[in-house]
Amino acid sequence: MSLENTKAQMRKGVLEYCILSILQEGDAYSSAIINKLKESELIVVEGTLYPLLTRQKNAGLLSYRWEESTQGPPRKYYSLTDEGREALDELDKSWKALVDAVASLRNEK
Amino acid sequence: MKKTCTANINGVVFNIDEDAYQLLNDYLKSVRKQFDNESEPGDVMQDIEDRIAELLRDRMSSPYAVVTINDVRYVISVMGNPSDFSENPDQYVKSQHRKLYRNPDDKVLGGVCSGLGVYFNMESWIVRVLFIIFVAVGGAGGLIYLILWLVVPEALTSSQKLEMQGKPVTLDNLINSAKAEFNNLKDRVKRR
Repeated sequence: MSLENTKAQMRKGVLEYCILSILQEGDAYSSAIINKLKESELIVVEGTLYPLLTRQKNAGLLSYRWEESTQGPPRKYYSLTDEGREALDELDKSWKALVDAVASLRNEK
Repeated sequence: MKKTCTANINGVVFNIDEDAYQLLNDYLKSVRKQFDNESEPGDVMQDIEDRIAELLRDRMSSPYAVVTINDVRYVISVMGNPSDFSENPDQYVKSQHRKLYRNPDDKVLGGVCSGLGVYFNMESWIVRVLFIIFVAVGGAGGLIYLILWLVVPEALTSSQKLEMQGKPVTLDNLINSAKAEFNNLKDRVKRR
């Protein structure tokens, strides 16, 4: 059980980084973000995403606008803010450092 | 034949079976509880309801089709277990340190099922469903429920509530617990 927990924590840790990364490629609806994350098997259930999106929006990393839809109520269309772009750069460096650290630890056999 | 009702999920109207409505309602309540410590739980709940409405709309063959309990179960399986949603370290609390109390903040009758749910780290609606099954099958379930209602104390004070959840009774936790209750009260007043 605890191994599953650890794996889940690892995935959860990179989720915010991945959300910013997805939005860098282009503005998107939350459903599109969810689908991309599911494709890369980073999330299994969708519920984890919404509090993260709200938190990032409250932190000023994302913004959204409402897009009208003929098929139903208006939907939120997310985009990266300038602060979001900066955060992404920071996270890129942080991620690289992490990957290098783990790789060198694993190689010291 | 089943009784149905009409539900408004984030502005979209659905015809829904009564049992399906109950299940969805309980699920949304559990989800809502996860965000007690967040600053804007309303925003997240709206996004979640929006997505649920979207999932259900895609599943319904026509606007007149009725949402059944299987549809709600499908939605729950896609959205996930509420305890996975927030970053609470709650999940790591060992149940050995918990005390069984009846939960006054989530009660239908006496808070028995909710209290049992907290103690065993299960959603209260699961416990309620189990009790209903026990009652339907033999009737002893009702007696057990009454006995528990009489014997198990209600968690009235903040420290009792913390003990119920197995959290250490520290000043930090007492403050967070008070904040969560305030948010609950705010919402209840807003809804009127």
